Amino acid sequence: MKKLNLTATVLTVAAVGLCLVLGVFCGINTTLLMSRIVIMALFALSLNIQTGYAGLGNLGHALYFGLGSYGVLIFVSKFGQPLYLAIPATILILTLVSAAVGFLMLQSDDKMSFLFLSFGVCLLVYTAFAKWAWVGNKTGLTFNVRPQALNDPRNCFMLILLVTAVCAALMYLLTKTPFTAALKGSRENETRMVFLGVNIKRLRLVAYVISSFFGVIAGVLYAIMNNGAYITSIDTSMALEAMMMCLIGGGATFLGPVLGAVIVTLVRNFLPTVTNLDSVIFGVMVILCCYFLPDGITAPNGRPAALVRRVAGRLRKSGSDSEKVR
Amino acid sequence: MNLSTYVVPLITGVASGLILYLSAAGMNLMISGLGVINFGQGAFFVLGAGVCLIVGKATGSLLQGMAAGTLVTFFLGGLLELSLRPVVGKKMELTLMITMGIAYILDDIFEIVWGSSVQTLAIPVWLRGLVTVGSFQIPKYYLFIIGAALLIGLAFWIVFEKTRLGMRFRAIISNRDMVEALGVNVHLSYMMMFMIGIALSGFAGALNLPISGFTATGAMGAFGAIVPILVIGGLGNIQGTLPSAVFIGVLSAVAALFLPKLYNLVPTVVMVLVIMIKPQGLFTRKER
Repeated sequence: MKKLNLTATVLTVAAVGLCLVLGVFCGINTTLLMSRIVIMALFALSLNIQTGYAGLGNLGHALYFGLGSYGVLIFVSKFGQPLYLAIPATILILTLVSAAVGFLMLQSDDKMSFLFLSFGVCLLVYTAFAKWAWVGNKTGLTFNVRPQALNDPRNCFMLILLVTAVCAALMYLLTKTPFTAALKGSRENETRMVFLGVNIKRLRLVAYVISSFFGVIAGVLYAIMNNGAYITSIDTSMALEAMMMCLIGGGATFLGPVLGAVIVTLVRNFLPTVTNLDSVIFGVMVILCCYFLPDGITAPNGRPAALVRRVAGRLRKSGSDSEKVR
Repeated sequence: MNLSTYVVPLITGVASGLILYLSAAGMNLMISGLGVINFGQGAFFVLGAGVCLIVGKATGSLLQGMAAGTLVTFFLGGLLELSLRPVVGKKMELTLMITMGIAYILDDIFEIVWGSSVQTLAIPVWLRGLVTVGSFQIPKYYLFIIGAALLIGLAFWIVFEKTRLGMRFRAIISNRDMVEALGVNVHLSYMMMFMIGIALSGFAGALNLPISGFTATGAMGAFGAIVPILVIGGLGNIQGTLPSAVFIGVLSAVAALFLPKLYNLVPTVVMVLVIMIKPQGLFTRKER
């Protein structure tokens, strides 16, 4: 177990380093793409608290991503507040909103109705925003929200990477708490957790609020990166993609959604430039992934993980062999 | 005279509610039978309309188009069941993802085959015009929709409640493992469930074609329209879908009169309200 953790740590550090190199030294377009990928990774990680640890499928997580973007833009451009006030205000208000919305959505114990409700609420807000002239209908809002120093995309990228790393670290610490253990218990055996005296509804509500909180942060970062809030951030297809990231990457490991985010973002941004069959390819990819990697790419008992373990084992073996020779 | 401004929207509301009822009932059949959330239900709705458009234009007959749309989706339903067979019963998310993948694939196919412009099929001559009932003038086609949807709904109900196949469906819904253990060929029943469930959506799409036309990107919207009906009627509660669909249809029509800007938010708002009052669905009977 510890050895695998070592591999994971090495891989994480290498991935962050690679991100930094790609984002800072490889031209503007790569920087922008990397910013998007990192934001999506944060977004997928936040959703994974629900889909992975709590076992609650959510098809409307884009709600908080989109509202986070819109919140910053509204505070800055409509109310004339400075950015450093707009961000905490947005996060605070939306976290409170998520507590109320989550309370409503968790009224029914049924996981399926939670899924449908999350989808419905997201679609509701999308429809409302698409028709609301005050928030710019279908074009969304654009306004120069970021301070001078962040106008260089590379600085902006570094900020995004930093915030994401801090949030990811917080979420990682969260997975080590008894709270997450209880959450996993409620996913695996709800009845038993009730017998143990756990208030499942409250547990899930807390998970929902935490997840939304980080989702809002991802949205805020997206607003800063783009200097705008767009209707596509709140779209249900965005929410579906986030769900795909979690499921393709695998919710069982902490960094699974990150890998999923990288794959999905690359596919969704790169393929349309090459072919107009991009959705077909994406759909086929998703279906194949379901058949052959049902628990996601990073599942501890899946084929890719076995491969990594074998390679790591061989490396270690050859390492110790050479030590013996020496 | 003043009354007819209310009656006619009411009829159209019932008609559009019934169209969505067909699709939602099909989806509910799959949910309650197999626990499969078919995310592609909206895409099959659009596919039914698309096939109806092509065949209807080629033959000049709307009815033949509808039959073709229903048949194509019927057989695709069988294929969908086959493709889901390895993952059914394992994890709900997997079936959801596969159907999503299919929806993505269909989305592109619509764009390529039918183009991105809105296309529509003319209503045949014998269904054009208005019928005068008392002092009201009602478009014939809406009456046709109501008649056809109710007929299909009735047939569905008869199959479900009165035939051997329906008995199997009900048995599967109440206890899938037991039915399998008794030696019934459940896979055949599953396949029939999918074929019927998806053909209902295809037929609904074809019925809807002369009203709203064919839009290549309409799948998500169609799915979004089904969701409130399903939740309000109660997930896995087949009897609840019809009242909930009519309720939502009428409510939307009334809302369109008074709140012309906000009427398509109404179903979702009602859905949230219903969940607050009765989380298991408005039209669910108490379990005995």
